[in-house]
Amino acid sequence: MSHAIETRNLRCRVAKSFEISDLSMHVPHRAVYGFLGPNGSGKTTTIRLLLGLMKPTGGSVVVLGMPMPERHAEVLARTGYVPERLHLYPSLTVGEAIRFHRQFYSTWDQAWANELMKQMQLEGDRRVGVLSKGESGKLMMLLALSQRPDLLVLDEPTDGLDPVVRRDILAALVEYVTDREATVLISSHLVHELERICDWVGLMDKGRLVAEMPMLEFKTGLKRLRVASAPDSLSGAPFTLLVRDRGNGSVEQWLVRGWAPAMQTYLESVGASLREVIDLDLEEGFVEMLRASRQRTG
Amino acid sequence: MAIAAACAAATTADAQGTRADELRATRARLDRLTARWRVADSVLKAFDDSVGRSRAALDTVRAGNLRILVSKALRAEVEASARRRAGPLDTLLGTATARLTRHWIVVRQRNDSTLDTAVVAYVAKPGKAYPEGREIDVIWGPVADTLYGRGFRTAAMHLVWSDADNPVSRWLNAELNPDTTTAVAWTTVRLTLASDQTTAGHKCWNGDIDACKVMLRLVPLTDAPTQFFDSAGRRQHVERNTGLSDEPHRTNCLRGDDKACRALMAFEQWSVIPPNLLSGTVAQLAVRMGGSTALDRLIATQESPARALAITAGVPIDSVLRVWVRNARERRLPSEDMSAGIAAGSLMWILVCGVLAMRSSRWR
Amino acid sequence: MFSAILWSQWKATRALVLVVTVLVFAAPLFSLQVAYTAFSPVQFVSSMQSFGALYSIMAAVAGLLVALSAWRLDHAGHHVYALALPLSRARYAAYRFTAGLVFLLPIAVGLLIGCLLVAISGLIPDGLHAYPIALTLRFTLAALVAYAVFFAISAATNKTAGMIIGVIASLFFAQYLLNVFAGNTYDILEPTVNFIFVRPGILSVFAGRWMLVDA
Repeated sequence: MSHAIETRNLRCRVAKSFEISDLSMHVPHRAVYGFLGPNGSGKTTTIRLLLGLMKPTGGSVVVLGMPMPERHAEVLARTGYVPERLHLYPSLTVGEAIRFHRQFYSTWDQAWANELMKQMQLEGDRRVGVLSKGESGKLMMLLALSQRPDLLVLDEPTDGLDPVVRRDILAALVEYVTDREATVLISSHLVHELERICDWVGLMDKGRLVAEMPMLEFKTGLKRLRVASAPDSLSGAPFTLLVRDRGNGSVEQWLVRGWAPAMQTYLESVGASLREVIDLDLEEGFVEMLRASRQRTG
Repeated sequence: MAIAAACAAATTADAQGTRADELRATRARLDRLTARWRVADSVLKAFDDSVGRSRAALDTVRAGNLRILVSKALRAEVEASARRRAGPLDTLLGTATARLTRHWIVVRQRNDSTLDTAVVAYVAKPGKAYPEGREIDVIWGPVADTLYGRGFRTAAMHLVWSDADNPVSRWLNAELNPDTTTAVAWTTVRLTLASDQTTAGHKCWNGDIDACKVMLRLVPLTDAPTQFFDSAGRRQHVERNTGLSDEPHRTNCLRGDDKACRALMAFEQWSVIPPNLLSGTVAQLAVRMGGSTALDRLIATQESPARALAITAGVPIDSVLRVWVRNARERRLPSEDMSAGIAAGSLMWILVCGVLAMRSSRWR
Repeated sequence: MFSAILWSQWKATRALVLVVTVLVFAAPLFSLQVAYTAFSPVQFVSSMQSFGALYSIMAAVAGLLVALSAWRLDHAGHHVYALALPLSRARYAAYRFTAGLVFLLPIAVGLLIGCLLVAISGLIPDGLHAYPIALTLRFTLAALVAYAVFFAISAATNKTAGMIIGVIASLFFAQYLLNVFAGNTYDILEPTVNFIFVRPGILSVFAGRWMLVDA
């Protein structure tokens, strides 16, 4: 098994005007993989395809070494899933929901469930249907973690939650990951949140995986350069030129990936003059990557 | 001598006068009857004339023993329908079908402004069966093969039965449908016998043929309270019927005096006994048992009802009644109880739906 | 796993089962109250027969309501929870199906008790008999068939359910068109009804006479 999650040319037409196309994704074992993308980019659909909740029209999905959706029951027995919206039965109480859920998982840890309940301050006799957004988010996380899964799939788990609740949920997640060495796939459009916990990042836009790389490379390798007198063609460049904005004057703005300071000599060798190197934070890098992707696809 | 001669002359004159009176009365009666005959004859002639005019205006269709007058516009489909029905009618009515050749069935439009068609049966002569006249409206409705089918069948049964004027037809007091007794009819017989509150009814249900003859009025009813009830039954009947209130008979009867019960019930004899609603099923059974000529025999015989049924069935009346009671006890509408077939079919469908639910495309 | 599904489904269905059980328990007693005013045993049986349709309707309604209740929890969440559980789809549907079958039994028991009370009441005229077991068996089977049919339709996608309704509506519309343009010559509804209600049609258990008291 080389990856916890691996897809090859995954395709799925969701609506007339939207489809997941040629998605090839690789989530390494024990990674915390941040699945980034704007709203409507296809993150939730991709997650559903990974877990067998939807059937793809083409391509392949392998999760924990097992093909999906053929062996979804075995995969789901080892996977904790927190969907975007509350999916539990609203007429059950919190205690009843826990008792119901645990009967499906042989790895269930009731002691830890009790501890998490205390930690998250959930009351057992409250109906699920009347819980607030934060409480229901905490409950879903509790259920997912108490299963002691090998893989956690979290679809926007902190969306719409206040900072205190977000902190509680992320703390429980980090504790579990540290303790268990599980693989985590967490989707979000809140870039700063993922920056702290993820070691891999995949960027999704309009049904395509635009980029996939270690978080460090994403944070440090993306730069904006101001270059003067650059030739039209840049063959043999040691970096990836994502966007070339010629502007009105002689100085151009470039967005590059994989930049290192030593690469300045290359620019000089082609007659260009490096005026400035601008660091991008994660959010700026995210926005620039999206822009570059959209420019390429037109 | 003169006196004797005068007396003799007076006697002769008296005798002659009486004879003359008698003759006058007879002549007057004859005149009245002749006048009435002339009126009836003119009506008959007028009717026959109208039938003749109808025949002239309408086409004639013959199919088997059916004789049908039909308007030209409908001739083709009526003829086709009649040819299809002639065979089954022969099977249903047996040799009695031959009686149809004496009658006409008319198929005509009801009125010019609608598409409704009527099927009318003309009996050959008015009789006890149809004293009100010779034309019997059978059925009407939109033109359709099913209309003709029902019309010819019903008209045929009316016409065949119109020839019946005998003790058994009076005993039946209704037209006989020679078709097989339906499950609904047997259920009614079963219910009526099983729940009958007379002693004769209970005994008939338990197989006492003589009691069945009383129930069916196949024996003369000379003493209904005794023929329908035993002593215990009479007391129970009086107890149930508060209408039998004549005192002191009622009180004495309820105390156990059977003579008082008989006397009380004798006052209301015909309200004591239940109505005879079962004769039709016995007659139908006799026709079924007697073969293709049975209906003809039933219509033609002048014997008593019991003898007529025996002649019709070709077996003694006791045998007919034994079969009748057995059918009443055994034949029921088929779906009162849960049959094994329905249960098995239902279980199969439950399984099929369960499998379909498991294989739903929502899950795959 | 089955006990979890059984219990959760019971929680969603129990109020409904209670109400329907009370109604089916009362129906035989009510029919006796009405029939008892008849002036002859034949009238008594006729009166009882008129309640036959009520029993078949109650069986259909009981099956329908329990079937809808079976999927209510999942429909509310678009089946995401059910699809995310670690058991095969067929097994999950089988558990739900079986749980619903179980919940029809208290309703059948309610009817049986009502019928038995009628049978031992002493108010049935001489010569007539009560058939509480036969009626209850027929009711139970009819309710189970109705449940199975509606369960299967409810388990299907909206598209499939729409297709079924579309087929039924099309039949009626086609008959209407035939009546308008071809008179009453062609009847497609009667053969269809016969196909469904005559043995071994899927709803054949609903046809016929449902008699609690008969000769």
